[in-house]
Amino acid sequence: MSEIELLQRRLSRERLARKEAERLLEEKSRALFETNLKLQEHATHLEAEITERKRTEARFRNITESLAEGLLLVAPDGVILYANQRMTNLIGHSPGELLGKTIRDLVVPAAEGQPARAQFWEFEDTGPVCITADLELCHKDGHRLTAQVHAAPYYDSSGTCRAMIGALTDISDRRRAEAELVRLNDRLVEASRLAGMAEVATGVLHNVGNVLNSVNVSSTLIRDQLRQSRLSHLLRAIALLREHEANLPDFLSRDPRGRQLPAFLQLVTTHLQEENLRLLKEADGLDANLQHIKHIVAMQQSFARVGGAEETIAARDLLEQAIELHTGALQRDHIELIRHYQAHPTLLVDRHKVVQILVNFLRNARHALAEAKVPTPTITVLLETTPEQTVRLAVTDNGIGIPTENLTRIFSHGFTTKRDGHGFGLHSGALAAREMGGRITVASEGPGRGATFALELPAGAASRNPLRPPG
Amino acid sequence: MKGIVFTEFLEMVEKTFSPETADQIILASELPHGGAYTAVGTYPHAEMVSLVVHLSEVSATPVPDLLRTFGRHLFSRFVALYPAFFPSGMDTLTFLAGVETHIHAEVLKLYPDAQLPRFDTRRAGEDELVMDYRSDRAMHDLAEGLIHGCIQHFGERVHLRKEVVDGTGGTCARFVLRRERL
Ligand code: HEM
Repeated sequence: MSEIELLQRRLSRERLARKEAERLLEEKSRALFETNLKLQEHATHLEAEITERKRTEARFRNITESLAEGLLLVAPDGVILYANQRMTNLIGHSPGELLGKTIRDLVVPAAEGQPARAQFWEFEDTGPVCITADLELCHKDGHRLTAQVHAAPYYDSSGTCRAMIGALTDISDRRRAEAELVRLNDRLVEASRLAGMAEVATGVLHNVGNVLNSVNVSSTLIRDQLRQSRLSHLLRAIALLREHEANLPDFLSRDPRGRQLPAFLQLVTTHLQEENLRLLKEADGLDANLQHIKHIVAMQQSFARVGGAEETIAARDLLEQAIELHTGALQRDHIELIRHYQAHPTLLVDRHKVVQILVNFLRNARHALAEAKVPTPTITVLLETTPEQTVRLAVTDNGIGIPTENLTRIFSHGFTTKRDGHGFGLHSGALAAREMGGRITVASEGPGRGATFALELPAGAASRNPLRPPG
Repeated sequence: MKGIVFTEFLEMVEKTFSPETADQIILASELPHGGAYTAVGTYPHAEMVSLVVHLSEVSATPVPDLLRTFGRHLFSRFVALYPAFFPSGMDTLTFLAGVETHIHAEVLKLYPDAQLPRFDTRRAGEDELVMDYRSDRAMHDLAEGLIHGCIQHFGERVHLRKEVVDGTGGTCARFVLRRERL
């Protein structure tokens, strides 16, 4: 084999190889060109997509930033992953400062008794759940605020929950207003209690006044009696006898004055006896009246106690006590009082509370009658046991009545139709009734057709608390 | 099989034996394209087998020896052609442990039609590496040459032991490398 032949073969191989390589290169170039075209197409597409994404993202950011609530994205360990600008208004820290902090860094240390909620995370069998909680937070400037948080699980695109998203609202103002409302309500309840006591006291004064009138009459009578006493006649006779001490028999038998003396003395004695009897009677009356006053005062004292202890009392006694406090007024206003005691149940209650409610009922009835100016003003007091075994104490009047639309509002706070009314008599009464396990109802067939206020209470000690040992 | 394997093989034959030997085995193999190989082309694996077998006949050298020699040559070429695979601070065992996951993985990206062996490697301590070779082409001798080339390149003293798994027709082999610390 000659060297030339060998070289020729090698050369032709190299040529062939070069051609093959060029062919492959061309093929690859074409493929590359096509790929490039595709890539360009992709790039345009991607660009459009990115622009759209950016727009959507900007819109979402706008939404989260425009929200009235502060937004927090919180990891399971409490670390803050995202905060919107609104959080800054709420808590003073910028979103940048909040990132990486934990919720624990924001809550007031003393309020850490609620760690699960303070971390936003709460789990049930099914996983994390939505929560609503009030958090005590510490503002950057040091002041404290109450924020209400609504937190919900935040799912990523794969459906796993890796964070909770919470919306926070500052409710400090609402909290303060609520506290103020509670305080005002307490004050109203207290005022109502005092008003009730004043009502009782007025009743007492009225009754005492009435009785004092009798006492006054009695004492005037006794004084007048004593002033006109026949005792002076007796003294005059005694002086006459003294004068004729030396010859009394002569004086008594001969002197015309002496001869009249025995008959005169007889007369004076009779008069004195009668006088004595009258005074005795008057003194008895005086004594009775004083006893009455003592009784009234004692009763008032028993009401003066605040929140007295519960005792077992006959229901009718409670009604009678309330009525007694109004007797003077009822007489003065010529109101006829009718009693319908259809049952004689006992109650285990705080006497003070019940009588105060009943006094209010009677007062309302009196006012309703005063305004109505009916020819025969009447108050009917009813005592009965209901089929549900509750005791019902009702006060009905034939006064101005109540329009239907007022019936539902009548127990609400501050409601009154009276010009000088406080509007909390029935409200506080209703509260007290509920405290005792009972309720207050009102019924009226409308304006001019009277009204009935009723207090319903659980009957007796046994049914009130069956576990209480008897006695 | 990738053309680079053929071009490098023939280059080695020309250098180690002679251009005549290369011409001779090409003619003897009766190749369809007359032995015009280009590194960027792809050719049947059987052509490589035919070339090696004819070289063995012409040179009276056993095929395994030829493949091992070719392995060493090929590795030195890889070093020259792909310096990116050889960062400083690299050592024999670390490089070989990454052939499958690092090197051949990259090769496959460049040439999706490449037919590569599978290596399962296991580091048994700082200075020991076990490589399990598996390939239908049964070219463990080429692998052995490549590994020797690698050891030589990094200039370390690494002892290599090869076990061909019986009854697999040479498709499975284990390489155990132990490095000696100086
Ligand atoms: C920079 C280093 C390396 C490169 C760039 C590389 C590249 C390649 C390429 C392109 C092929 C041909 C694939 C085909 O024909 O389709 C191949 C085959 C092969 N490589 Fe590597 N290789 C490298 C290192 C190694 C090492 C260190 C080993 C030995 C541990 C190895 C073992 C093999 C074997 C045995 C084959 C023949 C195919 C088979 O057995 O199935 N390679 N390599």
